Amino acid sequence: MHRYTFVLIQFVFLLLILFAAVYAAKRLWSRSAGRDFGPANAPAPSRASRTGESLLILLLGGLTWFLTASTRSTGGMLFDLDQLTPAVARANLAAAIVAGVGVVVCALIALRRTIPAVILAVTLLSAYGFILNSGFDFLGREAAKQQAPIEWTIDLTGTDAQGADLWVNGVHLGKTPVTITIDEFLKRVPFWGAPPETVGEDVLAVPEHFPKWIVERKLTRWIELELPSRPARGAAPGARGPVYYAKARSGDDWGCGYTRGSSQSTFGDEYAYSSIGVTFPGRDRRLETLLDQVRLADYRPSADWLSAFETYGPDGWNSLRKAARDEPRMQEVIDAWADARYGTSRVTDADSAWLVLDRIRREAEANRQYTTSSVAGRAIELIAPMLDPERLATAAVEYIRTARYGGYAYKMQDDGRYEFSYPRQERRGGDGLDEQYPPGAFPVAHAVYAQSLLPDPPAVIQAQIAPALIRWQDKTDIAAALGGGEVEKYILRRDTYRIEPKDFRDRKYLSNYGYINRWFWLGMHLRGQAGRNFRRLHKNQLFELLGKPTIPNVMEGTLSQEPYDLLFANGWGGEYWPRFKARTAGQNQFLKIWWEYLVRMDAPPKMFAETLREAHVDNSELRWALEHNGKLLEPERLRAVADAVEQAIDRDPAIIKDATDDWQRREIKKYLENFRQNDPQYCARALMAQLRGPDRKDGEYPQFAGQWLAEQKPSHPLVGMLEQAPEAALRQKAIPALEARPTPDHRALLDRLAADADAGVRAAAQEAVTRLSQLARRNPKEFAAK
Amino acid sequence: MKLRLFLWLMRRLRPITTVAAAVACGWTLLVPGPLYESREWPLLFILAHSIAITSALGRFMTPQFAWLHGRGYSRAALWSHTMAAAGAGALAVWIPAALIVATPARSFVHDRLFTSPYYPIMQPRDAIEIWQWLWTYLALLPLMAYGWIRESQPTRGMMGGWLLVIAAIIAGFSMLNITRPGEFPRELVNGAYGLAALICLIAGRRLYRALEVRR
Repeated sequence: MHRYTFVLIQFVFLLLILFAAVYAAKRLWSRSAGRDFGPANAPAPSRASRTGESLLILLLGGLTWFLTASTRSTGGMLFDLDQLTPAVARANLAAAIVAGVGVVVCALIALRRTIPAVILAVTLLSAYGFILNSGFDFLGREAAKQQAPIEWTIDLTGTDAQGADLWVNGVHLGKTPVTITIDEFLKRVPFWGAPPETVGEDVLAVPEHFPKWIVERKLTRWIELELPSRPARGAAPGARGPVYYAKARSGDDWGCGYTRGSSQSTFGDEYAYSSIGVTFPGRDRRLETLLDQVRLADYRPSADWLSAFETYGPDGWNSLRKAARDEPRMQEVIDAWADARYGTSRVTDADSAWLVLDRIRREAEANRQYTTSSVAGRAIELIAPMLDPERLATAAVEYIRTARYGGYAYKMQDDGRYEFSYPRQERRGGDGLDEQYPPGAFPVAHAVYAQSLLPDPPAVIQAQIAPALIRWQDKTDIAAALGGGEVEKYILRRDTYRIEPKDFRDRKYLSNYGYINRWFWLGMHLRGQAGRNFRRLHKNQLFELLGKPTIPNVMEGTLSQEPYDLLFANGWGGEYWPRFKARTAGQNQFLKIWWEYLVRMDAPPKMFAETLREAHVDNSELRWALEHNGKLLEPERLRAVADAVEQAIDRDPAIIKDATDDWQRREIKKYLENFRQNDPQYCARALMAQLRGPDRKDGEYPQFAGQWLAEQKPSHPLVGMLEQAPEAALRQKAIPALEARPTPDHRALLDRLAADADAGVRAAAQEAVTRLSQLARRNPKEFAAK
Repeated sequence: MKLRLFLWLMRRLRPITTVAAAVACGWTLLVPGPLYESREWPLLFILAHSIAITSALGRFMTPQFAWLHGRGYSRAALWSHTMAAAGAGALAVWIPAALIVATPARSFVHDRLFTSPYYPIMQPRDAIEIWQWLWTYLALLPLMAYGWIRESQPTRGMMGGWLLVIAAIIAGFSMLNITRPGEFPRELVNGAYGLAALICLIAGRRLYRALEVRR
């Protein structure tokens, strides 16, 4: 029997039961009450009751119809028909019209007979709800989904060059992000089956210099782009679909990437997404030139410079933030940018600060976008101390109280700070972003968080905002980070001495540890004295948790997991060390993990030597441990650790397993030497010594040191050493690096070299100074993104 | 206002009000956890209380009502005082329960006496629940009163009124269940049921004139 027939029979059966029940109830009622005054020949109900009951059916039936038709969670899509295929939309509309008209007809019937009208209305509306929300695909949604055209979005990653032109197999598809249905793509774009003939001609060899060698990256304009397709049942993992060849151009620059592996495709139910990783070398150079111009202007950007820089969007912002990591004065440029755009320097009181916040809120609403990591975010940080905390709290609590969901509101960054972002919804497929806080809430959340980080944060944050986050949104993690008396009661009055959750409401999922008791976890992150007391009392629970990862072996990356962050942040690394050592001894590459643990617990250098003796590993294990931890140690500690380990090995070479012959000992010395090279000062001294040494032809001579510094490390200590070198040839090697990053310090060094005693050095330096002067005078708009 | 009539009607509600107030206050004061987690119980209680109130005031076939209708009061006065008594009976239960929630009494007891983690943090959220309780009374009482009045008409189809009332109540409870306070759909449901209550009041007042009272 067809399943729809079966459903229909069920309906009719239910209807009959309903009628029978009503009839029986009526008979029973009349008999039990002994009534005889309602015979069939009694007068009909009055006009008041007929009109009233008709209106009630119209009103409540209409309400039920509206909620059924509009509640998306139960299949009501009447007001979102544009998101359905035409056939499904038509079926949806037809069902809604039948149900709606049915309600009106029932209201008309009620003008004469109420009972049939009510029964008919209930049946109709129940059937309407059933059609929309039953497991049976009455409206053909599933079938339509299978046949629906798949929208494919192709975008670029690794750059914010929005609006780059995209060609695939020679066909211009438009500007990125390109959205096209797969059917249309197949119609418009020919399939070549083989790489284009010009693929070899468009190769761009990008040399990357290191002190002693060159690596040549071969980039090409042609990027392989796989046509996304629904994974076929039984297909081999990693099986590839048809391959096309894409090219992207931004202004005059062609995007470059690796031919294979630069693009990735995902395939959802209704959409496909492909990203092509390219860089635009010309664009990158222009952006770097703009940064040089602002260095030449002593970090005081002009209005022209800012307007040119803004054309790079998030790429510009990211390049400034990156430069500011080892060039702190770049922060002045960021602040000047925030000031130029939002007038942050003119903010003198709470009212003017509120005007800036309000403007950023309006911008966020208009652009449907806000992120902490932007010039607007920096402006918020600058004005936050001046904002009226009470007014800010009122706005924040209103957002919290009225938002339906807050799931995507924030995330914790690597440094433990919260980032508030409202991402632009670019893909179809629904991330649920339309059901979160409005974009304007994000600057407010950021301002609150910035105020909470002040040395003396406003009390209203703990008194109003943190409780509101729990009360209206159950956002306990961020509330715990804000702290306060009410939040403490909410968390600490739970059973926190277990690490296992009691039921699903107590659960928190922790990667590698599974579900844990969230109250224990929240207590461990609680702010203030209560949090400190809690952590002291629950130290053993944390140790217990650390011993129960779902992955039995401790592997690389384990120590950057959150429970270990807690362990080291509270200074319990030493106390847990014996247990950690016992648990991990003998595992693959365990010395590497041991030393990483010691690095994080800030252990004295002699402990590295002691653990080496205890581990008794072979020299390959030692090499892995040195290579891995050399990147983690601060230069000063690195030197001390290297000395301690070297002394231990020198005293007793047998602590390294099988290190019996001279060759193995020489290898160990080489590993230690490489380990020390992670200290820039040591590295610079070693390179200087080699540069001064005889010209070796075995590849060990740092013949590319000058290019390496200019390209990759213009702030390396070697630059200063070269500039100070008595040998003219070495001084000359410093010039490209000084020119590559014309900071005030570097310009002073260049000026000194421009008056050097050696004519060659002097001439080269003067040429560099001239080039920089010319660059400083050029209009920044020449370097704007095209 | 006819005080004697009103008091007579209120006397009929006295046992119901006493029991209902005790249950409502006890539950409101002692139920653990935030009130939104046990939303269904107050709604069921209000339904039961409304049934009790309207049946105490709406069983017109009893000798007591036959006696009352023979005391010379106009039908308009009888109807308005019956409605006022029903409202007063509901308020007599709602007000103390609402005060327990709105004043820090409930929060204080759970915070200090039971050391509940939810208090005082959830007290403002509890406070918004009481308005839904009041609105449910305001919607249910006229609907049910209409059911009794309609049933006592000397006309055919007396079950029709009850069938409509039962369908309206079931639909209303379902809609309360799928909507959240403060959101548009909930306001729409509350508004529609307010309007339905008004229709029932107007129609009930007109029908009351033709009410059949029998010993």
